[in-house]
Amino acid sequence: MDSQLYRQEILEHYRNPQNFGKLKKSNLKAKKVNELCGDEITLQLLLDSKNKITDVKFTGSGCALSVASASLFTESIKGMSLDRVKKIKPEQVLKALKVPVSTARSKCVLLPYDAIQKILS
Amino acid sequence: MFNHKHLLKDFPILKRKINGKPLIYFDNAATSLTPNQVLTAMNDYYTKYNANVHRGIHTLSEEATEKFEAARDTVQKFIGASHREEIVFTSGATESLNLLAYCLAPRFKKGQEIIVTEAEHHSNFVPWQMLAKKQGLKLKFIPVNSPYTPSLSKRGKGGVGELDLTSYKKLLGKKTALVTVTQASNVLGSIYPVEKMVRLAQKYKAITVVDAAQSIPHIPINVKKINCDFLVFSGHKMLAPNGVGVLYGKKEFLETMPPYKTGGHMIEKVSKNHSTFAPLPQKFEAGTMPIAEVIGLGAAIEYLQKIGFKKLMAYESALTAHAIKKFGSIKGLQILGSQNSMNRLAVVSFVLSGIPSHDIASLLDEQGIAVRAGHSCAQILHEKFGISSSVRASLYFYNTKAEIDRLTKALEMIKALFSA
Repeated sequence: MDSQLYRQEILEHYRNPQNFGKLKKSNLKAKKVNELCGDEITLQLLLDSKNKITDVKFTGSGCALSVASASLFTESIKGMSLDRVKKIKPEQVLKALKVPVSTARSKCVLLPYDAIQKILS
Repeated sequence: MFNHKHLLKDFPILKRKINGKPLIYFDNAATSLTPNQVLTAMNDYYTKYNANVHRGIHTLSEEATEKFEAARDTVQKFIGASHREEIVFTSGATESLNLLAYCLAPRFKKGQEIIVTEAEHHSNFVPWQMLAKKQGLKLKFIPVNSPYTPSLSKRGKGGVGELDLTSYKKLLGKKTALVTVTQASNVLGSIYPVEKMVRLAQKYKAITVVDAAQSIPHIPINVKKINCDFLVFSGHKMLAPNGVGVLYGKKEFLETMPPYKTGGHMIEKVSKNHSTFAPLPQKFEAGTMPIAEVIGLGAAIEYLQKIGFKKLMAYESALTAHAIKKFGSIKGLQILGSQNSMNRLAVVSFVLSGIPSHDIASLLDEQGIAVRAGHSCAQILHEKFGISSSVRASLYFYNTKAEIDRLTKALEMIKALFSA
């Protein structure tokens, strides 16, 4: 089956997500449920004294798109300051998947992003 | 059994291509497609006699009123109600149920109980939950047999998805104020024995409500036979447009209930200090009704009657058997409801091990196949089955066995993609 959306790279992130698991020590915890499907994600952040993200992990159950997105997103914010994370736009998160995502599925892709923005706002 | 050339003519949307593939519409439990006959009936209203009903003393208004009230007669005959004023038009099953929860509220006392099933659509649960919280009533649940119900092993095959009526009998008592039950599960497809359940509830003088939103497009319904106090359904799941639905209620109940929405059309006389209300059914039809939609509902019923439920049920039953057989042949696929094609609708929900439902739905859409993924507005049931979501293929008479085969093939391909 040829799928535009489910490229092998995305499926690979789903099968072996980066940063999946729990942090022993963390300063921030963000949780978000996708009311469409019941998927949920919890992110933990470890910050240094300058509010820079030194480590991040996520847990939860989700569809391939939300897990792949969480994998890519957590990887991308490592080393960033919280101020910079705050400035990330949803379009950037959608773009990171490198595939066109329908409006209905955007919520899945944005689940990890929305979780973090919720506690930062 | 159906002439598909005719069906394509009636449902031009079926000729559509989605992502370059012929559309397979398997989301009928969410909303059905609308045939040309219904659209023409609605179009006639707007092009030939567009007017408000029951008001104007002019030809258009009289014609509109005549067609509008003719639709009420059609509904009355369709569900076998004793009186035409027992048919109240609403915006859908959800509004009908909210109306009931609101208008029946004054009858209930703190400590009384409302019995629902675990299989209810949120629309037949949340209004009652709100009412219970507000007035200190208790909600009791008739259990649905899940694959994990321990006693099932003793009962043999076919019990999954059915209601545990032994528990129901135990739940009933003098505190029972109301029993509300869906006639068919929108997830499992199981048809529930509402007639028997109503009879049992009546021993305790409980008010009975039947949610027929899922069942009425597929099976004949007679409210006198069921003998429930209320029955609700939506038009848009049975070929009619959205925005219209029905509340059937026994006259003696509707007459003593307070109005739900107030304003124009539902009054008898209004003065500065006091208002009196119009007789049934206008008492519950405040404001301008969705006139074209009501007329469309009448046309939809006529369409279904022309096919005839005997033919429709025989065809759909064959579809169900075929779907269960084909989906069941996929390794790792678990059908949520009964594997027995008898006494169930062509609504087949399933989970495919290791592949999230939403991904399946997206991949099927790429193949032109429309299904539902998620909890299908039945989170309590999904929780009972130990899952957060499922994929639902819900069929109607315009679907075919060949389409089921195409879905089966697509599911096999999705499995291969995910395991690659």
